[in-house]
This record gives sequence, structure tokens and C-alpha cells, in this order.
Amino acid sequence: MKKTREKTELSELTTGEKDNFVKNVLVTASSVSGMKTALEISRLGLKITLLEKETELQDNHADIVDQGTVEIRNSLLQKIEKDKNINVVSPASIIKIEGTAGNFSVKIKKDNDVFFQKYGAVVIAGQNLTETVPVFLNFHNTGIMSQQKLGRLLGDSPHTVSPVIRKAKTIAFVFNDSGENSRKLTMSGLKYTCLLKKNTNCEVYVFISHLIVDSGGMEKLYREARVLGVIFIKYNENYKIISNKNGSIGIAAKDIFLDADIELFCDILVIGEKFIPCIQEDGLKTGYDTEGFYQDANVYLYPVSSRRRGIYFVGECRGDQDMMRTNVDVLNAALNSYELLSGFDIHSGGNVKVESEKCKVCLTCIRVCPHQAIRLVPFSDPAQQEAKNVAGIFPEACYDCGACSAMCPAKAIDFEFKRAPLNEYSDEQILKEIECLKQDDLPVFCCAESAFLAAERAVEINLYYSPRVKIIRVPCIGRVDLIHLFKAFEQKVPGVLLAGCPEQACTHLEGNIRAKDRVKYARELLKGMGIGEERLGIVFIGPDMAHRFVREISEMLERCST
Amino acid sequence: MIVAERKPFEEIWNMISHYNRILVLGCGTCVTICWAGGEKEVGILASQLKIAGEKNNELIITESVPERQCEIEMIQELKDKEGNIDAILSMGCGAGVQTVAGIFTDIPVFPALNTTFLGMPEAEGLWVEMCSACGDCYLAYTGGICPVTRCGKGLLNGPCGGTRKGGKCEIDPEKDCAWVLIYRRLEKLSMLDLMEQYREPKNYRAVKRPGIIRATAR
Amino acid sequence: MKPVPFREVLEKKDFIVTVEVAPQKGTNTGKAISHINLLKDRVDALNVTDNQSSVMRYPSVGMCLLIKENGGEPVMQATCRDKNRLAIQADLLFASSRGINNVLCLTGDAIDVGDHTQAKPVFELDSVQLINLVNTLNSGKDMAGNELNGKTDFCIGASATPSSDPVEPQLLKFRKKVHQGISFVQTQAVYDIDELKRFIEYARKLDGGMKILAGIVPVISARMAEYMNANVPGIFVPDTLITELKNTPKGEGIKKGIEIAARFIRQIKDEKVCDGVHIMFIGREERIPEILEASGLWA
Repeated sequence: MKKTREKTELSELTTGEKDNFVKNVLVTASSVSGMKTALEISRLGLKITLLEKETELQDNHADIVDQGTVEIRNSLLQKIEKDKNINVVSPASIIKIEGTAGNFSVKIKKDNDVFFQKYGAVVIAGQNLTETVPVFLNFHNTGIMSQQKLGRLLGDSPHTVSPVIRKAKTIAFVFNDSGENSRKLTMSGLKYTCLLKKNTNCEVYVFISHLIVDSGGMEKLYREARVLGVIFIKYNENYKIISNKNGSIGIAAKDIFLDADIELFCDILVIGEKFIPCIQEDGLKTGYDTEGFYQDANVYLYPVSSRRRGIYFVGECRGDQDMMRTNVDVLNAALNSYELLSGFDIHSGGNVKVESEKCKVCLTCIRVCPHQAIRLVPFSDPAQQEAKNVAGIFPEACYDCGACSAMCPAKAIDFEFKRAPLNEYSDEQILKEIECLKQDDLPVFCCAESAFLAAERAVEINLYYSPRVKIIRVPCIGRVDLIHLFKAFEQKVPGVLLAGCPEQACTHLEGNIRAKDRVKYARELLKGMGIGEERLGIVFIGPDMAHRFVREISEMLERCST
Repeated sequence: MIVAERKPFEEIWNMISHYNRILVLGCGTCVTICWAGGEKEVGILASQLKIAGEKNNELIITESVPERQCEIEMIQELKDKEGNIDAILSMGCGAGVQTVAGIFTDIPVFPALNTTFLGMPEAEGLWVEMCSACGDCYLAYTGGICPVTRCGKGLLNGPCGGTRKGGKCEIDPEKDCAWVLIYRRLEKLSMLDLMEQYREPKNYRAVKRPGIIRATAR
Repeated sequence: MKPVPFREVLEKKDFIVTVEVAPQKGTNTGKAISHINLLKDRVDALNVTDNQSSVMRYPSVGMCLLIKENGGEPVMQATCRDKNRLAIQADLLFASSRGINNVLCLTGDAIDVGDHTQAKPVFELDSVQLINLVNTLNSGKDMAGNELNGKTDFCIGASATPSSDPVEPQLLKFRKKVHQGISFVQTQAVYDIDELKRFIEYARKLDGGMKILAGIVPVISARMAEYMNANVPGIFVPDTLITELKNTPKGEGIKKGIEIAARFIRQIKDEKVCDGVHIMFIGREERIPEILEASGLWA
């Protein structure tokens, strides 16, 4: 029994209330963005631990980023040394992050030591590797080089220019090898073209597909480059690297303005680096975007949030970010951490509860939860002597999406039954709404964040839709259980429609994808019962798409009434 | 744990459509965990039966989910329902169905699941077979990777010549060749001598089927 | 002319040639017999598949008998896929009693690739255990340790896969086969002489005293080569061959395939890379003589 009590106390401790939030922040790694974030958070009065993988603070990107970075970095280093709120730990790295917002338990490796440390919030800043020029197999030892290499050969004054560059008569640039536009590479590329023009006598050509100059100072730099005589060639589709019989390297592309294929042979071809993420087993459980950078590609997470509340991403780890955007991230992350830990935010999750007696500890909810808000917690069943571990939802990390509730195979998770108008998401309440359906009704399960707003908007702007349409509001269509669908069909309705957020824009990250899978499975089951798949529909609608909403429900009505 | 899969509805309906009072009986242990026969699945199947039998006014579907279907005591508690039902649709594994049939002697018991294998969840909704319950465990010699189960042919002395490029299985290019996995793991553990040893043909009668274990008091 | 027992061929002959023949599906043995008569005096042994690719056919032992009856020397393939240890031993006793004295021990293809996909895959033994089993029968005992009334006298062969990826587990298993005691080895189809040489070097070090026959499967089109590279485990056709096939005029693919195979055989023979070849040209047995002729093996 004693053991049980100890366990329960532990659980109370970890189920942190806002008052119990640990008021310090872990920032890693100490890139320029990391250092800036630490200083910003310090200004707001929180304590910071700054983790650095290497033995001393440094920034791996100094070469590619602005020329001024070295100075920036040095001044930041000085500030951090003086700052009493910031504690630098190096060389150290995160192994994994357990727990939830306000009470993270972070496993840290320092030298050969591994230990746990409590933090209220975690900021991951500027960690990525760059890969230099893609390897062109047939062009070994030619004049192709990366911007980094060019920068080193060029130096910063006419006297430091390497003979390799000085010999060159023509130099061509491609800022981005990949299709995406990198502001960072554009910025540094423009700087190098200007330097070349100022310090050497060569001809400089720049091949661009899109030139984005919206970052600070870029427009000016672009103009300067043109004044200095840099020639810009806008091409479409792809460029090709070519070589002639003399072994000179060249570039071939289709010029948009001349509407002609052009070939240019040059002595040096500078191709921008490719930024590749360092995907590693990081223990963050926060997912990656499609290219493998930190932060899911989901609009609701921008600018700095992750799927785990209290973990923020800043700068290059989110992708190819330039300094201006990184600065915005820094401020956002600092403010978010501050709001979270000082209790100023209005987070109101945790209306979903586990009925501990019914939990079979299958871990489904833990795997399903997009926010890592569910963990095993000790529970002593009054009916049994022994204490066991069951699933527990931590309100400070929970966003009330109900994904767990819809997935639980033992029906042990549900929204709390509340009479308040904003809490109609319990099974009992949803099933009541379904019971009220009449034979001709078309129930439409609407995501409260998107389709439901579209439906409201439709009413506001007097768009007509059939009174047979019965809207059932759910927090996310990922909350709609298979049982809800079948119970609706028990009411002999002609069809059922689910309406949720567009892909990669689900407020609850993957509720819409899970709903899509579920609909696919339900259609199979329905087919076995002789119910055609056209009678179960799913649509993805943004909150402002009132017209589309009305069109979709009308089409659905038509489809399933015939 | 035991992993099972639900049978297609047509098959279930063909077994059960001419009964009126049907008990859909789930199980709260293995098949709940593998999403095949827990309270949620019982609810879905019951609802499907109601929809399919909407023309039958006498159709009564009841639901129940005992903790474990393969326990006589836990099923015995439901015995008083016997007079009120015509048939039982069991959503337990094969052991559960037979336990229920052994107790409900006067009404038919039908399986709603196909019991598939002993396995573990590799990810959300993905179960993988791990053990064949052969009664003669070889894992000590194979780096904790079961060739009897995970090699498509159950070979004991190494891979067949069918290993595909990158160490994939001949039968299913999606699956890893168990023997390549075993080789890599033993190599890592510096225990390759285990794989070099000749393994005698397996004793397929290590468990006399049907298997019975009579344990002495502990 | 009475055929020379394969065991003697292995001991005495410099360059051994065997070919693979497949029994028909059904009871009409006419075509099989014509293949036998075409090839029996030109090669050292005819090697009969056992429900090849898991497709149900006339049994290996049956066609081996036909070969015997028509004056050829058969090698019976035995797989572990279809029979348990009782059936395998009984079949071997029968074969031995009828003068079939050569057996190639194989694991067998997966049931899934064949035409009876719902069949129970037996695989009670594996190929290493099967080699052990045949050696046991040769010693006058059965697998359970009982004395046999008349022992077998099999010359035992095994297969090897020199170009698997990864190759180490394959080599390890091959080593186990050698340790069980075998007289000859047939490799999976090889096209790369260096790969073959590497394997031979490895096999020679094992000091098993067995003869090594390189597997030859003529590729008759670039598409077939690409298909085999992608789908047939343990086979790798180099790009140079694929290009050569691509440049072959339409309708001359088979001729080209035969030419490439013959060239490869001649190279193996001239450079004394290994002890012989095993030619597999299933479905086109009647064209095997062309390969033999082109490679100078047509005695």
C-alpha cells in the first residue's frame, strides 16, 4: 500500500497546475538564433539554460549568412556571458523530452553523463546541416563551386581575392539549385556578385527562376548589383549544366524574356548550397515537415509552435530561414514561452477524460494523441488491491480534439458531460443529436474550427440550404467515431457527411486525415451491408468557404437522395 | 498478445441473419487492444446488425464485453441471459468462442473474428506476427528474432536463396528477410558463431496437439 | 551407350556440363522424352526440377526414371516445400532403389509464387538439414536413427547464390551446406565473371572437395534482363549486357542470348574459372544444343 501512495503523489506532482509550472526555459542549440532567443527570454525575467553540442558556443552557418554574423555573434556571446539568467551548458545535447508544457522532464547528455532536468518550455533553435553543391558526376574538378567556397576564395577586400577567382573572366551564378526559393542564398549570392564586381574585372551572370527580395536590404542590394553591371537572366523550367570540347563549363536555360534557349560558357559556376535537415532520433516526438525540417507543415503551428505545447522551433531548424525571419521567430518563441509560464495564455484544454476503470492500457490514445498529452499514470482501482498504470490526459497539453476518444477500442475516453453550451462533444450528447435525426435528414458532422464556421457564415449571408441538413458540431472531424456514423444510419438517414479542415490545415494536425481513413474503412463496412459508398461523404472546407459548403451539402443531398 | 481481425460483414450476416435475439459478445483483453473485439467494435457490429435487419421487427441485439472471454468464471456470469437470446456472436479469439460455446450449451455460438496470430503493435494500427507458439523456443540462437515465425519458410539454418535486394523477403518485398536481420544482429553482438552452428531439424511435436499444460502448484 | 555415373564424371572430367529439364504438367511424356533424347548424350547429366516455381507438375522422380529408361544420367532435385520428413525419405529410398543416384538438395520456392497459392507450405526441413538427411540415408540409417534394410548411395549437390545482397548470410549458409558434405554445387544464374570468381575463391577456401558448376541462364531480351534484375532474387545482369541486348535487332533476341551465354561459358572454360556449367533454358530446351555448339561443348 505504501508503494501505491508514493506513486499517487508522484502523479499529482506531474499533473502540473499552472502554479506548479517550472519557470525556466531550455534553449538549444546556441546558434545566433538560439542566443538571441535566450537573451530575449531573459529580458522577460525567466531563467534559461542554453545547451550547446560543441565545446563552446558557435554558429555553423557563419559562412553563408550575412558577412556581419561574426560580429553579431561576438557581441551576443559577450551579452550572454554577462547575463545572470542564462546558464550555458556545453557540450551537451537533448536525448528526449518527457512530460508536458510547464513540466517537461528533459533527458540531457553532458559529456558522459545523462541526467533529467525540469523545464517549463523548450526552444529548439537553428540546428541544421548544409550540404554543399550537389555532385555532378560528369563534371569532376571543373569550375563548379558552392557559395561557401567562393566566399572563402573571395575574402572581403581586393587584396584577398584568390588567384583562382582573379583568373576567371566569366562567372555565373545559380542561387538555388532546388526549386524552393532561399532568401538566405539569394542574399549571400547578391553580396558576392557585388563583391566580384567591385574587386575583380570579371563578367558576372546570375540565372534565376524567381528572385525574392522581400527581406531587409535585399531590394537595395539587388539594385546595387545591377548598377555594378551584374547581368540577370530569368529562365523558366530547369537549367542544364553543359560543357564544351575545351572542357569549359557552362549553363543552358530558356530565357523567358528573349523566349529563346541560351547557352553561356563560364570559368566558374557558383551553385547555391542545398540546406538539408539533420534528421536524427531526437526524442522530441514533434514530427517533421515534408522536407524533413522540424515543425509539421501545418498552418496552425506557424510561426514557432510544435505539436507539443511548450516546445518551440526557431530559425533554421524550421527550414531555410533568413535572419529577418529568424528574428521574428525569436520574439515569438520568447513571448510564447513567457505567456505559457506566467499563466497569461487562455489555453483551455483537458475536457477529455479517461475513465480509468475501463482503460485496457492498449496505448492507442498515447500513440494517437497529436499533442503528446497522454501518458500512463498510476491509478488505484478501489475494486482491486493493486495499483496499475492507466492512460491519463494532461490538461495543460491537451487541445480537446477528441482524437483519443474516437479511437479508444474500450470506449474509456470521453468528453466530460457538461450542460454549458460550448461542451456538446460527449458521446452521450452527440448520440442524442443523432437520435433526433429524422428519416430524410442529412446529418453533417462539422468541425467547429472550419466547416461549422462556414455553415454559420452561410446563414449570415443568406445562402439557402435545405432544412433537411442537420449540422452536428464536433471539435474536429477526427472526433467522429465509427459508432456515430452507424448510429446515424440506424436512423435511416439517406447519407452522412463529414466536413473538416483542408489538408495540412487541420487545427488538430491530423484529425482530418484520420477521419478520411475512417470514412474509407466505414465505406467498406457499409458496402458489405449493401449501402453504397456515395451515402457516406467527407469534404474538406475552410472556415470562410460558405458557398463551397452549401454547394457540397447540396450535392451530397442530391447524391444520396437518388 | 493474440491478434485478430473482423470477418467481413456478409459472412457474419450469413451466419446469423435468421436469428432474432442476438448477443454480441466482445472481449476486454487481447482483441480489445488489437481493435478487433472491444467495446467499440461490439458497438459497431451491433449497429451494423440493426441496420441490416431493419425489416425484422423482432430483432433484438444486446451487447456485452466481459473482461476475458476465455475465462469460464467470467462467462458463467452471463449464463442467466441464455433464456433471452437465440444466438451468440462472439468477438473473442478462437479460445474465447470455444469457452463461450462450452458454457452456452443450448444456443449456437458464431465467431465474428478471424484469429490471426501472436504479435505486437509496431505502430498505431499495425500489428506484426512475432511468435508461432511452437513450444520449442529458438530465440536464444537467433539474436532474439524468430526464424520460425518471421522467415517466410521457417528455415532454421540461414536464408533461402530467395532473399531480395537489400535483404527483403522473397514472399513479400515489403518485409525484411528474417535471416538478414538475424545475421546483422548477431554480427553486432559478435555472436555469429551461433548462426554457423548446424541446427537439427525442429521437433514439431514439442507440443502435442492439442496442447495442454498442467502446472504444479506455485 | 551406358551413361557414365555422375559421380565418376565429377571425379574425372575436366569440364562438366549439366542441363536443367522440367517435367510437364500432365501425363503426356512425349515432349519430355524428346528433350531427353536430344540432350542425354551431349551433356553429363540432366537435372530435373521439383515442382519448379511452386507450380504443380509431373514429379521429379518420375522424369528421372524416364531419363534412366532412355539411357541418360539424371540428377533429381529435392525441395523441402512439399513434403515432410517421412515423405522426403520415402521418395529418396524409392529413387535410390531405381538407380537414381544423384540428388540436388534445395529449400524450394515460396508457395506464393506458384499456381496453388492456398497450399500449406511444409518446409519442415531446410536445405542444410536435407543434405544432412541424405548423408544419413547414405550411411544406412534413417533420420530417426533406425537401421535401413539397404542403404542409399547418393551423390549430393547443393545450390549457392553468389550475387545476393547482402551476400554474407548466403555465404554463411553455403558454408554450412559444405560442412554437411556435398559433392557438387550449382550456382544461381551468374553473368558477371568477377562476381563468379570471387565466389569460387571463397568456395575453394572451404576445402569441401566439391565441384562447382556455374549457373547459366541465357537472357534473350533487355526487358527480360531488367525484369530479372528487379524481381528475381539473387540475379544480377550487368548494364553492359543489357545494352548489348538493346542493340540487338528484333527477332534475334534468342540468338543473341545464346551467343552471350556461349561466350560466357567459353570464358569460364578457357580461364578455368570453375569445374563446369549448369545450363538452365527452361521452356526452350530444344535450343540448348545451339548453346553447346556455340560454346564448343558439342562433343
